Amino acid sequence: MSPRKTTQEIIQEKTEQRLRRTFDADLSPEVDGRRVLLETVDVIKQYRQYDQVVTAVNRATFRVFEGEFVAIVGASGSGKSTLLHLCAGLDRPNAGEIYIRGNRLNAMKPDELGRFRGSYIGMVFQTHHLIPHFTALENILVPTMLCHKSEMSYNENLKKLVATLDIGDRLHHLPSELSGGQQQRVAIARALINMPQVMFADEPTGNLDRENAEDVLELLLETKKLLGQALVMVTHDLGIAARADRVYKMDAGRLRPWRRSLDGELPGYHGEE
Amino acid sequence: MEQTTSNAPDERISPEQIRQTWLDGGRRRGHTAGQLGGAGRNILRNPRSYINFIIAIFIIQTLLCLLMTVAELDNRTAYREITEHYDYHMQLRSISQPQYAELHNLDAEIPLDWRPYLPYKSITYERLADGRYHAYITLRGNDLALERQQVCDGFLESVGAAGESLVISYTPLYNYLTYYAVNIRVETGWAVFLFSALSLFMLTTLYNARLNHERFQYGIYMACGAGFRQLFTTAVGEMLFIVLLTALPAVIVANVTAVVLYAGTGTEYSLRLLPLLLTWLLGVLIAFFAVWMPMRHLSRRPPVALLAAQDNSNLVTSPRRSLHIFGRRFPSHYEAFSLWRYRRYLAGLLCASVLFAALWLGLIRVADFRTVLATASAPEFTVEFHPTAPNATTLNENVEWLSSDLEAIDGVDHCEYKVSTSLMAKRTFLAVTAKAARHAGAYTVHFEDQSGVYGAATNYAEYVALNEDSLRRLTERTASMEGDPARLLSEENTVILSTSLHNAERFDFAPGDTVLLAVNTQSTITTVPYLTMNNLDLLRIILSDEEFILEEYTVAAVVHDEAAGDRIMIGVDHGTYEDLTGMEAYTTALDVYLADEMDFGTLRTVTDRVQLAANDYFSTTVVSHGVFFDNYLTAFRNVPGRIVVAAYLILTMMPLLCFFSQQIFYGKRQKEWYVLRALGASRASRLRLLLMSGCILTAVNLVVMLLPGLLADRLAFKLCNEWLPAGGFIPSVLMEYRLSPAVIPVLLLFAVISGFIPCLIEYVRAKRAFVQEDALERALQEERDCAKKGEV
Repeated sequence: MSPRKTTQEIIQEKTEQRLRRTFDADLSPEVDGRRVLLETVDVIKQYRQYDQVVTAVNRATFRVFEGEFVAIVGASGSGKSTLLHLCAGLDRPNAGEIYIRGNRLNAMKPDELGRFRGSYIGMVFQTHHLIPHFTALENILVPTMLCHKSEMSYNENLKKLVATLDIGDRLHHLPSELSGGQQQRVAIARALINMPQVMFADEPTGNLDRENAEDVLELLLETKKLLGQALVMVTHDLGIAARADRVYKMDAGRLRPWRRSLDGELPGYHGEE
Repeated sequence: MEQTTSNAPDERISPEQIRQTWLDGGRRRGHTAGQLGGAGRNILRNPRSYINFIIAIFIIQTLLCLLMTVAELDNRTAYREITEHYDYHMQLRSISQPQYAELHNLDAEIPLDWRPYLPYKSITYERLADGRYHAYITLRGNDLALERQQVCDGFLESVGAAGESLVISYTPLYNYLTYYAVNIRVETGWAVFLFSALSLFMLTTLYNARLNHERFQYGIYMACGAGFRQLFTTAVGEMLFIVLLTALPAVIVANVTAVVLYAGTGTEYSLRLLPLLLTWLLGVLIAFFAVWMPMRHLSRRPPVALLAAQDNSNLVTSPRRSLHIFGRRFPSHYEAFSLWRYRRYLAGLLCASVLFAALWLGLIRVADFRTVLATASAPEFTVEFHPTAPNATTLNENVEWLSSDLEAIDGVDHCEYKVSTSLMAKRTFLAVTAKAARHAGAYTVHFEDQSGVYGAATNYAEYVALNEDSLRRLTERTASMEGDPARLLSEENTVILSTSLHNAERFDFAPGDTVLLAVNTQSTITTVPYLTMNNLDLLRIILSDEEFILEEYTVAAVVHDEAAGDRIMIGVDHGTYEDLTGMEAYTTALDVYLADEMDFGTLRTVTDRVQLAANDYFSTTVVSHGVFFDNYLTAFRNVPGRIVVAAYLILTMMPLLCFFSQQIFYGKRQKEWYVLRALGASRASRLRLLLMSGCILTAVNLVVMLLPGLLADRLAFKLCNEWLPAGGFIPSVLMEYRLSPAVIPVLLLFAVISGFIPCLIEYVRAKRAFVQEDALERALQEERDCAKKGEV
């Protein structure tokens, strides 16, 4: 006869079942003692136009561990942004699986995926995509309307983000009144306000000067360290890529690890054609 | 795009070369024709982008053509009706035998070859039972006013000299051609003008919305060197093409509608060229200016301002501070905040709603006024007495007998007569208490009497002599009389007062109140200044410089809510009338009112009998006012009905405008929605957001349409009921202010159509998009399953 469960155990079991149903359970597998926050398995993304098929992502397989910074580099049109969008749940692959916190994205319905994104994923787009009729501050706080985490201290978080990104004097301005770099910083703050567990960034420092780019990178790395985030960044900047824990190279849809040389440098890469 | 210069394979084409190629292409094809052809191709390839303009211009052209065609058919139908009963323009009534002989001889003496040059075509005669004659003169009809003048001055002068003075009356045929037909054309002209102005406003607003949508594209053109001329000629080519495209269908629909409307009237329809040409011309002008103004404004903006506005950011007012968004709910607070930010855009939309609602309500009120005017009682004839030695008693007796004789005629409803004289003519005044005159400040001056009771004086009044008969008629006619009017004849020093001036209650009298009536004993003002002064200036002079005796009178009864001109009535008995005015109380005019059931044939009979009856009394003239014909024409043309139809058509323009603007507005918010999805918004929240937006816009629309609309309605009421009659522009007809129960439901309906339906359309589109998304998801899932099984 199986031993009777205690009330606490029953509650815990029910909670876990509910969390699994709502994809809030943390089912991250462990590999070598490290949690895998993001994993893709043979992901394929194809676009069909009449009789032509374009394979943007061709069997991409990789993992990102908790607290790890992964950079993806590649030529323009190699499929980096497409892969990022697939991993962030903004698009669906034609084949393969994507797991975040052990939860299979393909198993989620659109609304479940949306809620999951709001809770656990942060995304910085290449072209900012700020809401034009909201101020910088309102844009930053929009994710809190969609997914409010009661356990978080938003005030402190906001203050820190604003200070680090140096946008304090532009908070009440519309995006049309901000420069490209300022818009980018607002977009980064928006992605970070809910302290996501997995962070995706598509050329986040593209419009920034060297000093601000460094500050932004430091902020991302610090947040990653603090929260144990997995950070995946697409970048053309080899200097940034060099600071990643691991670098992947995307070439015509194929993702390959880019091994560093013995001196830690990244050999033979030209970012653009 | 063709190139005018040959380039080396690796040489890039500069913006200047693009611009030059564009211009050269236009010159080669012929500038206007080429651009028109190009515009036409654009429209035929993308009809959906232009559908709003096609609908709007089609409606505008249809209504313009219909207005002009209907006016033409009105004219023809009314003319046909009249000519069925009248083939002469003038009538000499009841001329004597010598006058007949004179007229007949004058006519007979004119040689045949001179006849084509006479102002009249023919004269026919009708012998009456008493040996007198009616003569009927048909004018030539080339210039009626001149011909009438020539006949009266030359021809009839000698006829008049042969006996008593002539009584000339003019038939509806004469009045129609010299007055009504002209009026119809003038009215139609005004209607076409106002409608064209409204159409221009609407089309300009629509085009502004389109330009706003394509600002980025125009910014690129301007950055590449395009100026106002290039932008304008392309844009106006599109609109002119639409005008050409819709002209023929619009004319067909308008003419078919006119044929259907006039199907039962027996009027022969024929296609007239003038309305078609005018419709097309007006359509071209409206389209031209609707494009010119917005494009002019756009071309003056720096290109960079246009390039920056790919989204809706140009519609947003820069805020001073951020809203308290933290902790707010999505989508309710989100959408409320968004609409607040877009208030500049929404204000523009709401202004259009207000304008259309105000116009609608104002026009409905004008239609109401026209209905009341058409049904208001007015005398068809006035019998004027010209006694050589008037004796009040005899005259009044004669008036009463004549009144009885006339009322015995089939077709005559009743007669009225009034013995009155104005206070201004007698240079006297009425003094009342300040309380009674508290709403009549514009019609009174300050007055002080020794008792201190009376504080205001007015001469906006007239003495009306009342006897038993006239008192009875007054009581029957008046809807609301307070007090006991019989006291006027049984008690001394009593009066009956009315309270309204220009259709508004000005004085606050009650039975039992007292007033002072003044008798001027020594007037110093000469005639000429008196004629040119206004009432109150004269009154001030009278009070300061002249001498008068004041007598106190008690108010026996008060007449409320009467159609009123610029005088209140002071009803007194005949004796008091003679004491106050120094004149005998007798009337010199008798108004004759006809029964409602009347036609042209009966009118002729009644006219003859009224004339015959009047001839039994000494020196009378029967003046015809043409009221029957006025009312016939108004009823036939159904002017109030047409105004109501026009009002509703104008109101329906509002949803067209709102639809188009909202379509573009929500289209530009698509990207915002995708960003929200990326941040975690659910599909259901998108649908709720749209419904919420629709509800907020409907509520705001209703409020802004209702309040200014009611104000416009009230203003239109005051205009028709008080201000225009006060200026003498229109007759004074008492209207009761009543808000139609249909106002709020209709405005609510249009608020829903304008505010909610565009959101509902977006809601349906979003749902369809979700269905397509689900289908794509399923397809991808199948692919993934196949891939797993290794089939791919």
